[in-house]
Amino acid sequence: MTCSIADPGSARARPLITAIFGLLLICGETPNSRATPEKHHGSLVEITVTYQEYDQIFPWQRRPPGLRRGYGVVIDTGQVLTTETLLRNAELVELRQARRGEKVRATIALSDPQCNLGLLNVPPQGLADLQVASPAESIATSNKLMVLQFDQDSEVQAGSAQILEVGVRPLPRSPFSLLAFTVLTDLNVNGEGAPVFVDGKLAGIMITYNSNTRTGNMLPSKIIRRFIADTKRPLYRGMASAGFVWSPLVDPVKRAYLNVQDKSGGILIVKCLPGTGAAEAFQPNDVVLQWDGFNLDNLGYYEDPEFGRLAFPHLIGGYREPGDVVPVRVVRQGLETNVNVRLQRYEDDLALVPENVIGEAPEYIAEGGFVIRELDARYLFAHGNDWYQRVDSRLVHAYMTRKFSPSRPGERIVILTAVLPDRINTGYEHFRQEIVTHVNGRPILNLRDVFKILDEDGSLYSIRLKDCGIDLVLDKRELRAANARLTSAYRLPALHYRNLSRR
Amino acid sequence: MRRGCVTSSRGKYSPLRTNQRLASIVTTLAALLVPMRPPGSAVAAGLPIGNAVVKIYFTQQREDYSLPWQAGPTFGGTGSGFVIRGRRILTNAHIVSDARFIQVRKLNDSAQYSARVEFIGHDCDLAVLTVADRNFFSGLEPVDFAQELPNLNDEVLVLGYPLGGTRLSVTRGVVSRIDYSVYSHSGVDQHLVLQVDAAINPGNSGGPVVFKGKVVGLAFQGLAWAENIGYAIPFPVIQHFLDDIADSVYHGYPEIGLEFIAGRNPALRRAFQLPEGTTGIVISYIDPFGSAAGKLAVGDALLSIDGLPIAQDGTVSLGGHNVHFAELLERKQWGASVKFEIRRGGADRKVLVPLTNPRDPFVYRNLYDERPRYFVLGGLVFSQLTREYLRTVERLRSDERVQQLFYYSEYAKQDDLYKGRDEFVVLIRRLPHPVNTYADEFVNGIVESVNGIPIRNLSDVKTAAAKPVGNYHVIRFAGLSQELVLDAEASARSGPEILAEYGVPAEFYLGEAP
Repeated sequence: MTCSIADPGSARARPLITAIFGLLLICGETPNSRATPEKHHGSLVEITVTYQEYDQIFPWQRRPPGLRRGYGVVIDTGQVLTTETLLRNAELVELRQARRGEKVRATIALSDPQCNLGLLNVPPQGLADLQVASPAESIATSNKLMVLQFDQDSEVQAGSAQILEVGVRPLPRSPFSLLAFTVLTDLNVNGEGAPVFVDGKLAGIMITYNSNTRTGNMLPSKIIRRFIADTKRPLYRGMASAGFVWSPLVDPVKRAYLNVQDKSGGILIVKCLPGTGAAEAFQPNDVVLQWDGFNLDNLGYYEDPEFGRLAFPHLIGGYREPGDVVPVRVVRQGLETNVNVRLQRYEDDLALVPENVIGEAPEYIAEGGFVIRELDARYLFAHGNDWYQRVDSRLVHAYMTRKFSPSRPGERIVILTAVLPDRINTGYEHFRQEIVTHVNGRPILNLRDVFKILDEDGSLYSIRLKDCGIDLVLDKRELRAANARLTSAYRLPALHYRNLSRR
Repeated sequence: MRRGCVTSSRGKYSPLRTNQRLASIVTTLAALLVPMRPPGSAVAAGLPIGNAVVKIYFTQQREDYSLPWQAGPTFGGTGSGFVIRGRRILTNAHIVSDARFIQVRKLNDSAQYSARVEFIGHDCDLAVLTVADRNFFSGLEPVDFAQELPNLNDEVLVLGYPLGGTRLSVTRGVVSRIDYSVYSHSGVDQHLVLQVDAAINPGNSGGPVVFKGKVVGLAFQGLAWAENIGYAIPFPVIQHFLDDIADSVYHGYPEIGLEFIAGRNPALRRAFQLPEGTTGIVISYIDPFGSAAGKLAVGDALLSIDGLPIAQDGTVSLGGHNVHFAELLERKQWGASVKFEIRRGGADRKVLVPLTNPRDPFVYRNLYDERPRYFVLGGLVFSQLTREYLRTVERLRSDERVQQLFYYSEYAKQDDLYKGRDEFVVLIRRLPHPVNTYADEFVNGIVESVNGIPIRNLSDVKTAAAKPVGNYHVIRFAGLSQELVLDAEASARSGPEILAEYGVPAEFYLGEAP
């Protein structure tokens, strides 16, 4: 996991956009006029996704189902590529070809939020006259691109696009960043996943679009090719991550304080996620001068052989795989030294407060009316856009400031989200958004510990909350009857949900 | 009583949440004013008490907590007050807080007399004024206070000088509720309030609420989003204030400082061996700054207070009414004691708790009449964390540094964040200069150490700044792995230039040591 405090790339883009707009006006030419959709339209499919998210506040319930519409591109016989965000929480995925009304059900073979790509399996008899698009080997920024989508009459519509800039950009609805091309197009892109072609090959798929600026981000074929190759392996490995937070190191005073002799290069290691290769290799205040053979400037950029100046996280996610070990040159206490950093796939489970990007079903316990779960970002975000004002400040602080800092491996913040009122828990009804430290008199590190105690004791009869020095006890003799009452009154499908495949 | 201390809600003190709520309380509300008769008719109308009601003209100046060297803007207004025994005027603290100039005017007198604050209780929103010109009090009879609270639905009059005219106004309503509520002036303290359905408008503040010719309360706040809800400070709170200043010093309300869980759960009652029946609550938290610290303990069951049994919901039976046991503490003065009967480890015992009112720097009340402290180092402005500063950054709450300020203000004691500190010191501002170009990301950080020296208070920053590490000032912040590094020589060199450039009169104002 890498992130930057600054986004040094964004400011540079503006003059370039202006220049390209100017060129279009002078030429008086609509880029659309050169588009030739016929050649590719057989690879384009419309995807309709019916999705349903879990209710993070009452985790045994679901949110109302919703519909998403986007696009996919056929990349192999019976396989369609699209975005992970389109498929997220999908219950039903249906495909439709141009000029047709029939919908064909598809199944999700694999989707990965860390690269925002998803792969669908389509039954052999499902779609007719399909064309397979193959990802381009490389794309030059000067290439003319073509974006495909459906118009309102299900006809393939094509538009021209030009690359404005190449950079490492945040993925939508996700904390991850990846190589993306910002493109300007004359098409009003009406769905994510719309494929982009260059010289008959798949250049990428659109992952964001802004109709005001007519620009969007395209996930390039380089990432797509890696993803497809990865899916063909027996075990999907995903994107590599190093597990640290970094910061630019521009301040000359701080550079001198850290004894960095190099005049202009190097970034500062700010924090390492315990259990990662970075935590093994780095020390506080290490300054990284060189990553995997490439010199880094003080903003974290390097000179990419293919794309020119790029933010260095692309060296991790774009070139390496989980399991690789990369050489890194650092300044440590004034001396230059080499360290090796083991890369791995970013594992949410390592964090004190996981992101749970995809919003998988939250594990919970509702015994005796105590609704207990682990704190994750999805729970926080479920409180609305101003969640940071609505949720207890202690929980918000844990996410904002300490999410990568468990005091021990496996530590999570277990919270009592609410108490479902019943006579067994009378007197405790008002407790909510409290941190649970003990269950049945025993300290807990995470929800797994609570399940273990449940297994051993057969029931949950007391909890202790942080800064509340006494246990909230329940009547053991009444628990069975109370749980039956609670299950019936609140229509709980189960008193707890445990995801056995998770750990 | 401070919110969260003697409540069963365990609601954490949340400055902004409380503040948001209170902001609405003090907002103007539309109401009907009783049409006034010609001046001098108060007595004729059977309202002799009207002559004791005075109009107060004030000019206030609120300190600027974002630029703490500035005295802040001035603004003027009017309020009400009434004459009490001893040639004094009783009014609200919020009328005369931060006052730079106060004048009073009585009925049928064209003169405005200079007045000064003799005593002020910010925790109960009350103040006593004196007027040097003895002519002012001639012909004025002090009001009489009632000896008991009116009942619900009793008709009361509210007298004062609200907006909409210059003459005395009277509105009429009934007592609709007697309850505990937060006093918006401090934003934290809870006391008894008298809720009336008479209109209480800006300018009414400080005026008497009269029942059968005697004062039962002092109008002080309204509720913006509700109609015909006005609040008055009832006479027991007024009497507490007047008794407190009898020795010429205002001590304020004592703080017991505990949280409890109601004894309603049968399993909890058994676990803590509460007696059969419905008596008893269990202490769940002891405030290290409260009176109960060292006397009572977490897990103690409170059975009675001053001989009155404490029911399972924390109430006691008083005069036929069930009231929160905190109401008994309300009646106590600083220095008095309260006797609890407790059950600890199955054994009953009596515990005498002397009541104190320590200056707890980790309760974030609204501040008045207090100049903010600050220290400037290399254009970086450090100040103490205050409710006023939290208010200035509230809109930035999605920022993790700002969010941390709120977390620290709300959980200072519960999460032991206060340990090793007299106050929280915050980097509140960067006065941009080449010497501090890269310090922006640290603004709103809570300072942990400067040059290796732990920071307990703002004065420590000044002390530590005199001891740079080599040629560097190295500043560490709570929750931040990165250090802020300044060139010490360049900071010293540029200091006067920065102060001059941004109009800062002095490098520091540290006031009195906390």
